[in-house]
Amino acid sequence: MPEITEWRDRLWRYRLVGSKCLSCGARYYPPRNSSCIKCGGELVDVELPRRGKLLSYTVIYQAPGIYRFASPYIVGFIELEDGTRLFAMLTDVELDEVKVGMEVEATFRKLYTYGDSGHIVYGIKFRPLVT
Amino acid sequence: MKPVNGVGIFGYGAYIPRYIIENSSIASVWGKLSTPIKSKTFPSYDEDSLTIAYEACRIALESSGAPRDKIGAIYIGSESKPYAVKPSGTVLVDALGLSRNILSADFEFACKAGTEAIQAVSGLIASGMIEFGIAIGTDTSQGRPGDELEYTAAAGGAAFVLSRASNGVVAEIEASNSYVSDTPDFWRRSGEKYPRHLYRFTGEPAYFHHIITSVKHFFEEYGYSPRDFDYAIFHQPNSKFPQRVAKMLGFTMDQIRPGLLSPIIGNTYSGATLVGLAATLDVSKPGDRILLASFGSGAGSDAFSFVVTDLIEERRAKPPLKSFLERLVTKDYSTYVRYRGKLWV
Amino acid sequence: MDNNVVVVGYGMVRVGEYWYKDIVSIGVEAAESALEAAGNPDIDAFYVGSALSSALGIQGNVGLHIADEIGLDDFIVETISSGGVSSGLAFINGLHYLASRHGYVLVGGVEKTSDNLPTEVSEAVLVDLDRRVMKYSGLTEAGLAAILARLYMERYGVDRSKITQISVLDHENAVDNPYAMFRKAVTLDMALSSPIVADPLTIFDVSPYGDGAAFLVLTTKDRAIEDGLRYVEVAGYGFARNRVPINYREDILSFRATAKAVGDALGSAGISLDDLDIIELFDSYSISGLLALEGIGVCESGSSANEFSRGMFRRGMRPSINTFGGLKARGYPIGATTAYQISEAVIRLLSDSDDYSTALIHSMTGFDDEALAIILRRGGLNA
Repeated sequence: MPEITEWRDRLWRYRLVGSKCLSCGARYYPPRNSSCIKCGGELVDVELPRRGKLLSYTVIYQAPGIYRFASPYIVGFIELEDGTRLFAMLTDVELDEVKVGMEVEATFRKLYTYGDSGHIVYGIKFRPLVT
Repeated sequence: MKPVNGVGIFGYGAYIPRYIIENSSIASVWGKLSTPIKSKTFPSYDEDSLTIAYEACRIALESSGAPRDKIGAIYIGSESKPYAVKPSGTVLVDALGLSRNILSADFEFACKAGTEAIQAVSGLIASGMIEFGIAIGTDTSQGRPGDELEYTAAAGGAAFVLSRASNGVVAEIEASNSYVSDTPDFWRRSGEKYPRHLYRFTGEPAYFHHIITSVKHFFEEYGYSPRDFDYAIFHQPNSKFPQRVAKMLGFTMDQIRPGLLSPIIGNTYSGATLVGLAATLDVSKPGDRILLASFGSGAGSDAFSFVVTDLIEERRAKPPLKSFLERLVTKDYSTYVRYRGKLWV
Repeated sequence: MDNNVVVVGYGMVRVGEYWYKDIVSIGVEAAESALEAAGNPDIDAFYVGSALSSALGIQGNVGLHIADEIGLDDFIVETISSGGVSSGLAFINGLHYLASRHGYVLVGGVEKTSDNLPTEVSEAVLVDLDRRVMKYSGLTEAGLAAILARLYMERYGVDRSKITQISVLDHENAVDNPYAMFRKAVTLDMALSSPIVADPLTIFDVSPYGDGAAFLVLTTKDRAIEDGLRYVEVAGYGFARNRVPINYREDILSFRATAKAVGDALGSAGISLDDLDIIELFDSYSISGLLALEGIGVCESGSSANEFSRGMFRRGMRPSINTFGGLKARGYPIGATTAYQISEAVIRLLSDSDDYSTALIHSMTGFDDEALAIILRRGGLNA
């Protein structure tokens, strides 16, 4: 029952929650369970900044089953304003609009579902900044 | 209905999806000669009424700085809930980081569920039961391929954080009322994918009768006339109806212009009047009075009067609706049916 | 290394699609041919790597079932599931066994990918990477490779076409390899104009999964000499791990586990990079091969793609890379891959016609998530 794992992950997945080291300030997304990799310091959950820039990306043409309906889609390697780096799907962007270096912001979207009768899994995606 | 204690809009936000399809594009597939609007929005494959509600709420909360731990109710008006059984509000509570000690329910009254939610939240605040509450109108409405509704059924939503007027609001709710009757102009049976409707019967005995009765009663009860209002927003299932009902009630085109979005974005159902209200607040000035009259099939109409305060200048929605209108991208019918999931019917 | 373990036999099946054979039967075929090459010794321990046989629901504990078929009783059997290094760790277990005991050990790996949908195989591979990162981002393993490739191109100003030259070399080297999945040379233009898997990477940047089984017979040097067997010496090895998920790393283009593992392997063999004649590189994706080669230290960061484009690393050059086709052309039978890499190096080091005496085998899971390095050295030819 993947729904249970997905439920357990929902808060950090919905709210862009990462870990922050109380000693050295290092950030991690997704959050880590134990201590800071860099200094061994204690970690606390923190909501990460929602804006960042695109460091790299790909367009997925051969998608896993749960994402096949979305193919081709873009997955970005993003650096948030605080330096945290993460992977997330990009949305509301055309294939010819995506550029390395573009400003992006977090949005809340359906990620995938288990068929018409199954659970809907929501989470963070990123879109070009709307101001 | 006049709250005994002052209640108003603390913050607001509206959202529409990025994609639009032109009516001509739908007409070219189904061979129709005249169409009701220019274009309409439709949700991306990863959007639904809940994600639209989330976006509108986030804008409302962030633009106003409303205290998330003090929100005592979240009511979502929609006729396109992602689940038939499983509340949308609980997802929003966890996604937005609201207090879990909160009233949460999904409202359904065709296109007027959102204004119904505003009235319910207002009552809770005016009675002192809660201090802040969120009311949302959001939809990704359905139209059977080739049906009249397919030309207009659109996606969008708006969210309003309401609070006691004493907390400082951007617009105070002066009064509202509601008028309903059993009128079968439009419905969707349980388990059905697409709604049905009675064509021209949706006009005079449904839309016009209910809005006109509701607004006239509102004017009589509280002593208003069209001249008292700087702006007015009427439910907008197409381009023609809201303009005609405005004229019938004595409003001018200038009064309805900022809130009349249906020609470009279509009918966003529960979102329609509320997205119009948000767009009007985006351009209104302190002291402006705004009339809003929603319509929900089945049928009923809620009428409201809002008065804008000085706080509007510092709490306008960021981004405003204009930013979303400026990023629209036109798609063809094949992309539209794919994103709407119609290929898997 | 002082325990003097040697390789005295190898056996492989051609990597491909075995519609008429199941996972156990291809495992048995490769294992029996390895045993035969070593003069059918009695086996004391059997270590089998298989990354996905359980995950894909094909056959759990596959080592036990192969052991039963080859009719050997009363010895240790262990099935190891650690992605691309599964059979490499089986090999390391064999070294450890022989460090304290004598006798013969059979090690290797087996994988069956053709009985499942390609998406089922890629999803099983994804589960080995960070579940949360991959599943919620829609990223695939090839997608991650593509993100690395674009970052590499941007950072070092490398032209897209140069990324794929390593795959062209793989295909050139596989033409005469009877065990290779694809034995056809390709041009760079063909590779670049092939269907895109994850932009900017095409199917020629992505090594193909395939069915495969490869086994090696290990023993101690003294025993090999006593039994009159030709052998290749295991001169050293190293193993290291990088941070997962990959976005936690300071620099995702830096394959530091590879660097550490290779450094340790060279150290334990008492040699330097300059001594290497052959490198069997784990190029599950073109970009992984390039970054691994830079991690090993053969090329400066950002320069490996240019080196391949200059025509370096062909057979006969020092070092020669992927002399039997690498993962791209020989094929990528996931958990059996390292055993193929080792077998290929053994063939070269036993050959009288090749002038190779030292080989590095580099193997990985994911993108430097785990890295294994093994040094083999030409041993006694006429013992």
